[in-house]
Order: sequence, then C-alpha cells, then structure tokens
Amino acid sequence: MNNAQRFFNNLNFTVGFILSVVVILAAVTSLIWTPYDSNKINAKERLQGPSWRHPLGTDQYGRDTLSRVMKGAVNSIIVGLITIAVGLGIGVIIGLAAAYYGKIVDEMLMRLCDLIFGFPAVLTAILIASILRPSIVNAMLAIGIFYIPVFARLTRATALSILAREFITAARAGGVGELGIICRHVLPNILSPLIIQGSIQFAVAILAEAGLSYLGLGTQPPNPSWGLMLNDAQTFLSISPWMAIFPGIAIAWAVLGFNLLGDGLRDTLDPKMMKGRR
Amino acid sequence: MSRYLITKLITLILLLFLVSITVFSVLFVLPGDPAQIILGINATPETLENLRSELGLNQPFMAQYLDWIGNLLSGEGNRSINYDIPVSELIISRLKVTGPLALLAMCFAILISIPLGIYAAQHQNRPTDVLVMFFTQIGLATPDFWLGMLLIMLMAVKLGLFSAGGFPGWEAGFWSSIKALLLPAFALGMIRASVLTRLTRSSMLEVLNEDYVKTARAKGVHERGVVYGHALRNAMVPIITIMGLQLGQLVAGAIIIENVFYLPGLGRLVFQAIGQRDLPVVRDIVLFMAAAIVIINILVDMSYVYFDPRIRHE
Amino acid sequence: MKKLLFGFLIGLLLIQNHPAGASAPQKGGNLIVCQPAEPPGLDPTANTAAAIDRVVYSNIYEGLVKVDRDGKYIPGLATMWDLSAEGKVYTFNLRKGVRFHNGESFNSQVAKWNIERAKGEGTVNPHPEYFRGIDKIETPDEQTLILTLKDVDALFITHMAEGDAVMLPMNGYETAKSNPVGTGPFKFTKWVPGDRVEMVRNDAYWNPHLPYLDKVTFKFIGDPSAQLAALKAGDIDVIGYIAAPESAMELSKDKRFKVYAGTTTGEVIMSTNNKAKPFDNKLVRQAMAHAIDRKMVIDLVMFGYGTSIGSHWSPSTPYYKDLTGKFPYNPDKAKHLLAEAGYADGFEATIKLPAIYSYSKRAGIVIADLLKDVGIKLNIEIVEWGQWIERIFKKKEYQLTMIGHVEAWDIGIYANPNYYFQYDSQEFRDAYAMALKAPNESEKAKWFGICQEIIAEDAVNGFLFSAPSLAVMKQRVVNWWENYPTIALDCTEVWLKN
Repeated sequence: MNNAQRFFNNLNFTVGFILSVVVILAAVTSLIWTPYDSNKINAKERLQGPSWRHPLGTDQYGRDTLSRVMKGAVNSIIVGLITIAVGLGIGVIIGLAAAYYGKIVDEMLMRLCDLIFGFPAVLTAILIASILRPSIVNAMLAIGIFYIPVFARLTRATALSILAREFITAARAGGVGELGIICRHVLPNILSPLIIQGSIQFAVAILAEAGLSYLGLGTQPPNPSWGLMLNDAQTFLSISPWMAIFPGIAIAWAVLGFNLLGDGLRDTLDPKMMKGRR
Repeated sequence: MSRYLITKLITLILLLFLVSITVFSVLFVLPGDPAQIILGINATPETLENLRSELGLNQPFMAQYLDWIGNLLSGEGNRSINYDIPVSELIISRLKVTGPLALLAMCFAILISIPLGIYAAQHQNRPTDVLVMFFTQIGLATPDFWLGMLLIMLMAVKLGLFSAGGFPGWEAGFWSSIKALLLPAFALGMIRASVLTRLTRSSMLEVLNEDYVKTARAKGVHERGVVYGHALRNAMVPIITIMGLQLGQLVAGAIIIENVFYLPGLGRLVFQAIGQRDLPVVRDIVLFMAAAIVIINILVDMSYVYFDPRIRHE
Repeated sequence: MKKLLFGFLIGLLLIQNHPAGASAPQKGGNLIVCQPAEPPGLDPTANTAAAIDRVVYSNIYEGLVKVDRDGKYIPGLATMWDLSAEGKVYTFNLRKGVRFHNGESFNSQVAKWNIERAKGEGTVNPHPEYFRGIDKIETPDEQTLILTLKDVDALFITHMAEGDAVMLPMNGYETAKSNPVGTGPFKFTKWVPGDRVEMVRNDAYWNPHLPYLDKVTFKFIGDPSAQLAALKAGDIDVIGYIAAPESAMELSKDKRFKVYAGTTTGEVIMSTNNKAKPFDNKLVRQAMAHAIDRKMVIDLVMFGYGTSIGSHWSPSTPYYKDLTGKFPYNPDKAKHLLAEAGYADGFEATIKLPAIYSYSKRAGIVIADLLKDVGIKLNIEIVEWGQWIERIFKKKEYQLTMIGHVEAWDIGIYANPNYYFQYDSQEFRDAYAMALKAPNESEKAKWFGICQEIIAEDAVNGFLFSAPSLAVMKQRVVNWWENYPTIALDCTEVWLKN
C-alpha cells in the first residue's frame, strides 16, 4: 500500500501509468472485440474522415482506422517485450564479460558496442530482411541487436563499480567462486537500473518498429501496425490526411506513456539517478 | 597521447577488418543473383552466365574478398555495377546531401537545446522548467518521420511554402537546395533537440552543484560568467558524447527521413543498392559508415580532454 | 506471298502527322520528364530493365524498326523491308547518311556487327534467342542488309523493334552503360546518378524536321508525393507514368494538367504455380478466377485506371481477343467449383508479393480479402525483389505471387514448362508453334487468338488488368503518347506550346 502510494506520488509515473494502461487496455480489448474486422475491405467506405460510424476514419481499402489502431497496439507491445528480452539477455553477458576481464577484451567489446550502437538499426534490419525476409520477427531481431550495447554498457558500468567494492574482495577471500560472485553479488545489484532502462527501451522499441514497418521491413500486411499504416498514408497526404494523423498520435501516445513510466520508476526506485537521461 | 592514438588506431583497423569480413560474408550468402536482377526475368541462362563471369561472381569467396579489399587498399576503388562509375564518386555525391542534412539537423538541435537546457536548469522545478520538460517528453515520443509527414502536410500541401520532397542538386542553386533540406533537417533536429535539452539540463544541474562552481559564485563571479564560463564547459562532456553519437547516426541512418522526403542521400543509396544487389556499393558504404562511426567516437573521446582537463588519456 | 512493305514516304507521312496538336509544332524548349525508376545503366542491349528503354529507346538509340503510336511497325534505321515468299529472308534497305552521335556512320556493316555481337559467344544481350534464328547475314552493299532465318519467325520484326535490337556504334559501344552513343534524335550529355539523365537535340538527325525540342531531361523521382509536388511546382513538365494512381485521380481535377490513361504492353497477373498443390488442379484455378472481382481490384488498387484482361495479352497489342467474360465474378460458382475439386471447406495458401511494386502489394491485399469470401485463406508474405528473383522466379518456391509482365508479345513464356508458372500444356505449345510459323496476318491472328484462349480456359494465372499508361503533363506539352504500345517514353515528336 505504502509502496504504491510512493509511486503514485510521482507525477511522471502517474501520467505514464495512465497512458500505458490505455494502450494495454486497447490491445487486450482488440483481442476480443474491435468495432469492425480490422482487415475487412469495404470499397464503399474508403478514405473517409472521422465520423460516428468510423471515429478515426477509414483507409484506402475502407478498413476502419480505430480497429486497426487498436490491433496495432498488440503488435507494438509484443515487439517491445521481445526486443528487450533479446537485448537484455545478450547485453548483460557482454557487459559482465567486459567488466570482469577488463583490458583488451573490455576495449574490443566496448568499441564493438560503439559500432553496433552507432550502426543504423535500419541498415541492419534491411540486411536481415534481405537475407531472410521482411517480417516482424526479423524486425524484432534487428531492434534487439541494437539494444545489446545499451544493456551491455549499463551492465558493465554498474558491474565495474560493484566489483571494486570491498565486500567482493571479502567474498573472494572467503572462497566464493567467480561464478558465485557474479550470480550472488553482481546480478542482484544491477537489476534495478536494468528494469528502469528496460521500460525506456520498451518505448524506443515501439518507435523503432514503427520506423521499420514504415519502410516495409517490419509487420507485414494486411496485419495492422502503426508504422505500416503511416506507410499506407504516405501517398494520401493530400487526399486523406486523417490516415497519417491517427496512427502517428497512437505511436506518440504509447511512447510517451512508457517513457514517463520509466522516468517515474527511476525517480522512485533510485532517487540518486534523478536526472535527464541519454 | 600518442600511445592512446596508436591503441585507438589498432582497434579501428581490427574493427574494420571484422566489419569487412562480416559484411562480405553476409552479402555473399544474400539470396538474389545480381546478374538476374540486372538482366531481368526473361534473360536466357547463357547471357546470365556470361554476365556472372564478367562481374566476377563465379570466383570463390576468398578470391572475391581479396579482390574487393585489394581494390580498396590500392586506391583503385570498386565500381558500381549499376552506374558503372567508381563507388567513391557515388558516395561523395550522396554525402553532399546527407552531410549537409545531418549538419543542418544538428544545428537545429544545438541551437534549440543548449539555451533551453540551460534555461531549464536555472529554473529547476519552476513552471517554465516543467513546461520545457513536458515538451521534450513529447519530442522524445514523436517519430521523426511522422513529424516529417506532418510538416509536409502543413508546409507543403496546405501552405505550399515548401516542396513535398526531392532535391534539386547543389548546382541548381545554394538556397533552393538548402530549402529542400530544411523540413527534413527540422524534423530530425527537433527530435534530437529533445534528447539534448534534457541532457544539457541534467548535466548543468550536476555541475552547478559542484564545489568549484559554488566557489566561483562565492568569489563573486557574475552568474552569467558562472554558467557560461565554468559550468557549461564542464557540462559539455556528456553532451558532446551524445552529439557525436547523433551525428554518426544521422550520417549513416537518415534512411527513413530520406525516404519520406525522397532525398538522394547515402541512406537511400544503400537501401537501393541492396535491393538491386549492387554489391560493391553496399560493401563500400557499409565499411565507410562503420569507419565514420568509429572515427567520430574517437574524436568525441579526444574532445573530452579539451572540455574537462581532469580527463587525461594515457 | 504476303509482303510487308513500308515506303519511306508513308513513314514520313506518319511522322509528320500530329493528331494531338491542331496548330503547327513549335520548335525549341526544354522538356523535363519524370519517371519513377532510375535506369540501371543506359544500355538496352545489356539489360531488360524497362527503366532503361523508357529513357533511351527512340530518344538516344534506334533500331532498324520502330513502333508507332498504334503499335504498328514503322521504319527506323531501315527505310523499308521486304520478306521473301517463304518467310525466311528479310531484306532491309538501310537509311542513307545516318551518323552516330560520335560521327561514325551507320551502314550495313555496323548492323551486321551489332547482330553478330548480340548472338555471338559471350553475349550479354538478355535475348540472344531473338537473333539466334538468323542463319546468314549478307551485306551486298552499304545500304542493304539481308538476313536469312533458319525458320519462319512471326515475331522477328517485333523483336527487331525492341530495345534489345537497337544499333550501337562499333567504336564507343563499350561505354554504352554510362555514356550511350546512338543515332537517335537526342544526344546524351550527362547522367547525374540518383537524379537525372540529360540529352540535347541531335542537329544531324536523319529526319531534318525532328526533333522539336532542344533538350530533354529525364528526372527520377520515385516518391509519388514528391512527383506530384515537383509537377505542381513546375519543376517537371511530364510524369511519364505516375507512381501512385491516386495522384492521377487528384491531378485529373486540376485544370493546369492533363492525364492520359491509355494502354500499355503490361499485364498484371496473379502468377500461380501450376505444379504446387492445390493449384495443380484446374478447377481450383478456375474457382479463383470466378472469385476475383476484377473491377473491384482495379478500383481499389488503381483507382479505376486500367483495363480488365482475361488472358495474357494486352488490349494494345494486335490480335487481342477479349476473354474477360470467360470467368465473370461469381463467388457462388467459385464455391461450387471448389467443392467439385474436393475443397468444399476451402484451404489455406500463401501469396508472396514483391516489396518494390506497390500495385502488387495492394492487389495482394484486395485479392486475399476476395478469396476469403469463398473459403480460401491467403497468408500474405512480402518478399524483397532479390528474394523474389531467387526463390520464386528461379527456384519456384511459391504458390501464388503478383507481378506485372511488361514485355509485349511475351505469351511464349507459357510454352516453357520450366518457367515459374510451371504450366505444362502440349496443346498450348503446338498452338504457339503454329502462331510463330504463321505465314500471314489472318493465320497469325487465328493462332495467337487460340493461344490466348487456351491459357484463359486453363486459368493458368489470375489475369487481372492491363496496366494504364498514366501520364500526367502540363497543358502546354503537346503530342505526348496516349498509349504506350512499346516500352518507351519517345520524345521525338513532342513539342511545347508557348
């Protein structure tokens, strides 16, 4: 009870929580019900603006935009979860290795991270899509790879500071094995920064998926994805601007929500880190 | 310092070697026969075979790899399959679009973010600070290509002030080219400004609380002098790091915005080249991008010494 | 006994005839033509990419034979040609005093060299088979070229009028990819990669009256909204064919511009793997033909621009037979046929759509929706172009796909059982062989008609529509081609009204 109150005393957390819950609710609802079949073509009602029948209008095939935006939320959430799993899993191992071995291993791994991080995720995604095929799974792979350095750096920095502490030396002297030290002492201590970073990367994943789907490298038609809907809208900017407006708002909404949630988590969990990020 | 440089140089070379092997292998297994893509679906097997041998596609892996690297090292360079001109020429002509676009975007970002960040830090937790932070949150949440589309709808379609995309080329006039880059650069810059504003604010806050700043204040140094003379310079380290990262990403990664505005930049070139299996172009550009990213990172590293004398490279 | 004879005078008359402009053509001016795709090189004899022909064909390069606006064959570098009675010996009279842009003269030796280059060992011509039928090349004098074929080839002249058969100079052909030298009305001046190709009037053109324009620039803008913006801003004069049909719809309402929605040689089809289950069953294919509402496809995909087709033959190509009524839209009939084929409960299949063509992706989405109504569940998979070539076209790893076949007279692909349709019909092969050997027009019309009917009846592929030309231009552009019976954006007779 006390804990929850602590979180909700934070404005960032509260706003972020509300925005995110709306997204999650829309996603869950769409699994059971949407106003229209999100993929059903209706030639008679194409390219409509907002109306009572179609609150967010329709696209060039007459598909209901509201239904598609709702379904798109499911897509974005799945992408966020899986990419974080990929980035976290590999990033933590690399970060620990760099911190643990130091020297040239550290230098190489960190420069490699610079490179992966600096190297455009889009280009990686294009290459992956060309070798395999454009699909949402491959887009997730590309975003996940991009996340590896993010988590690796964070893990390395935190791990370095922990490994330098006295209790580690004490544990070593006490005969605790190296693996034991990492599992028992290092990992638990880096958990909270990882959770905070995770919620922020969740938001970044939604942005990245939108970008890749916009290029046609992510979610495949006819399934709705916010980025793909923006791609469809591109040639209708002057004919039916609504097509480009609502999916964009959906993206901004969701990203804002998860970003604020992450900031709020950080403010509450780790008051020392209360500062801007990135 | 020289030992530091040598270490960095060796890492650079090792990394480029790694990248070259990776890229080459990836493109080697890339499905899609360049000969067939060039000649189209109705070409006869015989013609295909002839073109394949002309392009050296029948050579074994190592021979092709050495051929590629050899051409690069000897300064002879590789030729684009499609355009039949040296890849270096292509890269330079595209950099003339992507480079100015990235710089212009960074200009927007810096001009907006540094003053705004300092302002917010000075007014910490006051309504204006909250407002600035709120807008940066919106900025962080907006996809840059969507902002680009909104700008097209407003500035090009509705108001007709700008063209909806395309690039006239520098020889068509300096200003008309700048004008073509303005909207995309603004879209890119606004999003990056959000990141930088937040960073400037937090970095400044941290520095403003440090002892030497307090000392300077106590000594009676004017507040303006404190902020710009002492604090900002010290706060620049993280800001420069992120700016370097952003610049690298902009040079290499403006692919999406170049697509929205249809700019003939480096990103579009590589996007196209992969689609058309113009492999020499793809390889060279990827290597170039990798080198650019690592070099920018090294430069950023070196700039720390200037901004923060406490940092010394061994 | 039939002779194909075209006199020089007739040719001149055709050229001097300006149906679109009532007033006399004005000389001079600078035309900027936009086309979506940048050509991969500028040598049409080394690459079949349509984007190449659209820039250079009839503008920079010419062949012996040209195609006129009605799809008829007219004199190009040959003033006339004569076919021997048994249909194997073609005698071309070559135009006098023709020079390449680099000053070399064009004569029978050059023509012979070009043909030998196309059919010889180590050729990189995508269609050496067009020339392989030539048994003997004789050049009795500078102006006469005699080609003796091994066998009658009804499409020989057709092929000689294609981009693969344009004439290159013996010196300077090596750089044709980046610095083309031809005999055409325009001389190549500059290629700015990623942006444009420029050419200027060839003052030494063999027809002293042509061209009217001083300069033509081909600008490559693939993005539909950028195309539109450039046209509205006055940066370009013509969009050779518009990338997004919705833009044509929008522009047709604007008084400053005119939209041509003529025919082209291209057919958009839902290619079907005739060896993949369940599409090896003719009834299934026919059921699908009944389940597709072509009008709705054209409306949703092309905003109404485009003509329904019933077979692999464009209405703009001679001997066209209207077979669109063979499988009218009838979902009940489709379900009935599916039940008869043993799929009363429908089935699931995958359609692989090439990512680079938006019409293909759109049509795939619409057709998946239509087929769902009769119980066929189509999963859509977008494939990148290189993958499409590799996996679908070469390895035939697909069930359904969607693509436009742009070449005219390409029905012969159905005679090849190894083509990616994997359609194997002796009946068709026989009919096609008869058509190729047809000694006269009526026989040709009969057999090419039968060819169209056989593949329509077998519902080899989903025959959807013939792609529209969709050219948009400023009102002052006169004499632009309304239909595109060949793959070209020929600016020879185009002029600008002041």
